[in-house]
Amino acid sequence: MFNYLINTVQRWDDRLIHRPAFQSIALAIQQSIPILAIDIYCRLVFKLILFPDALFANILKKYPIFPDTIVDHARFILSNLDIAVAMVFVIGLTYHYLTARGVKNTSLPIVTNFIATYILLFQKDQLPTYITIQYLLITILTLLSCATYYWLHKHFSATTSPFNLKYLLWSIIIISFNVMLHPIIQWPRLQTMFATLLSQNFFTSFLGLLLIAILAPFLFVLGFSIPPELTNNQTTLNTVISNLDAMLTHSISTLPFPENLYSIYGSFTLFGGIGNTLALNLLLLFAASKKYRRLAILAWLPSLFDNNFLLYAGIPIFLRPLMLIPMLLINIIGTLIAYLAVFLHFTQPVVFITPSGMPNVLLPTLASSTPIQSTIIAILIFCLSLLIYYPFTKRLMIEVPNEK
Amino acid sequence: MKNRIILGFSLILIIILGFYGQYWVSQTSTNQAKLQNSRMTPVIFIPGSSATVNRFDNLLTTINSNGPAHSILKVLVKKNGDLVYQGNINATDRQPFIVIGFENNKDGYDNIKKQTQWLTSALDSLQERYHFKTFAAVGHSNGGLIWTNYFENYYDSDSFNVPTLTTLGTPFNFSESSLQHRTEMLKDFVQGGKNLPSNLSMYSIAGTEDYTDDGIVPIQSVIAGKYIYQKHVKSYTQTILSGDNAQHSSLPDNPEVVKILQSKVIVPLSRMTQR
Repeated sequence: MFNYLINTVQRWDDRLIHRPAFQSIALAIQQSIPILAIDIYCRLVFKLILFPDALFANILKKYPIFPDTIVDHARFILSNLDIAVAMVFVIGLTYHYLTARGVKNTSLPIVTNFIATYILLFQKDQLPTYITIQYLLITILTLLSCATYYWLHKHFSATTSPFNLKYLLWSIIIISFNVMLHPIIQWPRLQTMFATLLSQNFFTSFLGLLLIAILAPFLFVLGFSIPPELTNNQTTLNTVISNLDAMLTHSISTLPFPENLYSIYGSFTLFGGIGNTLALNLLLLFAASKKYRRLAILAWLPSLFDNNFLLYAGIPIFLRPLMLIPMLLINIIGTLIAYLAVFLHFTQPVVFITPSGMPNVLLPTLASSTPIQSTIIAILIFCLSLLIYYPFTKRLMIEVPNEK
Repeated sequence: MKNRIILGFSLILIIILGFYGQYWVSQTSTNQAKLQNSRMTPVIFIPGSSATVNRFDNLLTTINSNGPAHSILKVLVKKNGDLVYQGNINATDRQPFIVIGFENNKDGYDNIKKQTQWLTSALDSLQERYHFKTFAAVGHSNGGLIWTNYFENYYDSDSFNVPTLTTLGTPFNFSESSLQHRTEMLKDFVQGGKNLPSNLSMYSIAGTEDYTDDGIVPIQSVIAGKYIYQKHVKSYTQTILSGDNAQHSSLPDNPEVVKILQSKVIVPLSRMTQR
């Protein structure tokens, strides 16, 4: 049964990765790894050392406070690195998609897509504050732009100058379209709505938690911008605050919302990032493929601190059924085990706040009033994650058969 | 081999982080529990420039003689940030009065910025010592400016909860008698208004001798506070007192001020402690 599932998923995956559009996407996203690695490592260093709420600033006494100007510069660097990552991806995608179709001069579409994406995501100094690159949106818009350019190219003489008036008109239309889309995709209200929605009591029920456990990998693999409440920041949700208040005020063992996004989803399904990808990273460290081993080494430290974007771009995870299915299985099983453990009082729910930047893998141990039981559950879920990822990573290696 | 080294290093890192993390969680939780369970809600006073920690002696004596006695603690913040305590807080007193004064009590915007930093560290020390989260703020003259700068730039609602701020003759536009001319400080305060706590009730009390000023501060300068607070805080109330004891330095002793402090600050705050 499990083999049948893996075979089916691999068939879907094979069909997808052999499509020219996907091959362009995979090449482009992998091309962005060097700049992404710089971005991710800078982010990690700043998160651990430099920022006012850095992990070491929290846990070490007499830690130096860096001047605001340095911190502001660091934030500026991170924002620009995020932009650079998105731009390298867009340039690569445009180039690979069009050259695969025989377009020799790709300078105008590259410039057009570069400007259009910049305007779409970063206009009016609204720089991203975290990895909010919306891969799906950028991919769809870039591919649409490339497809229209290819259509124009096919219908006009190939000898026409790439900066001909017709092409320039196309460029203006594409950029204008992105200008119009800009206010729609800047979603501060949607983010607030998400926070309010996730604070509803429904998400303290098994069904609600299961829904989130399924939804999060879908959004992640499909390349949507993930709300912070689903990645690392559930402690601001009202239900979580109510639990902490009750615990601090009365030290009671009966909390108002023992099963919530923080105590179940955030504590047991985010080891290394969405879908317990720390387990995937660990397996890749011992993979037969040298390519994946190198990727795993590069991604290991960020993964340990719950940033899995290097794996996301390096494997790639983006749009891959072969990665989505194990993530879904892990999230469903992890949620079920953690829910039962709390519901049956095997363990007290995770309720305390840990210092910002602390690896999620330590959360069950540090933030529950029954650390030993919570650690046992965490180890169990992590081992199951390894078991679930294992057959899928073996199938992943089939893609690189010629490599020793 | 390389992988094993990486895993070994990671394991050691996780154990060290776990050790420090555990210490942080237990310390933070203990402190949070103390704050959460604290029933102490002091009223914290800041005198104006050139005034000492004794500035509110008459006012506090009057309040204590009219109702239940409150402990009085005076805290002098030295230029190097050290705190000198005078008096003490009775262990059973849920609503003590704390006066925070500054060794460097000179006038001027630059000094107000320095005093705000000293205030912030003094509040942190007081919280660590007495474990309170909620307090009411009162500032006479420049004391109100220090509070304003604090609320706009240093206040953290996770650490403190301040339901009321009362300012007495606070010159939000320094000695300018015209609202047409805004000082650099007023411009900064107006710009920072969005950072003010939205649950704050603000009472600004002005004194007048001749309906133009209180002898020192122009009434228009006190009224300029509306540009800072209105629409950003829960409520903003402007009261103008005239007659006896409405002169700038006598304002804290004005019977109307005592009444306002009793009815708008002390009584509502004591109800909060009886929650």
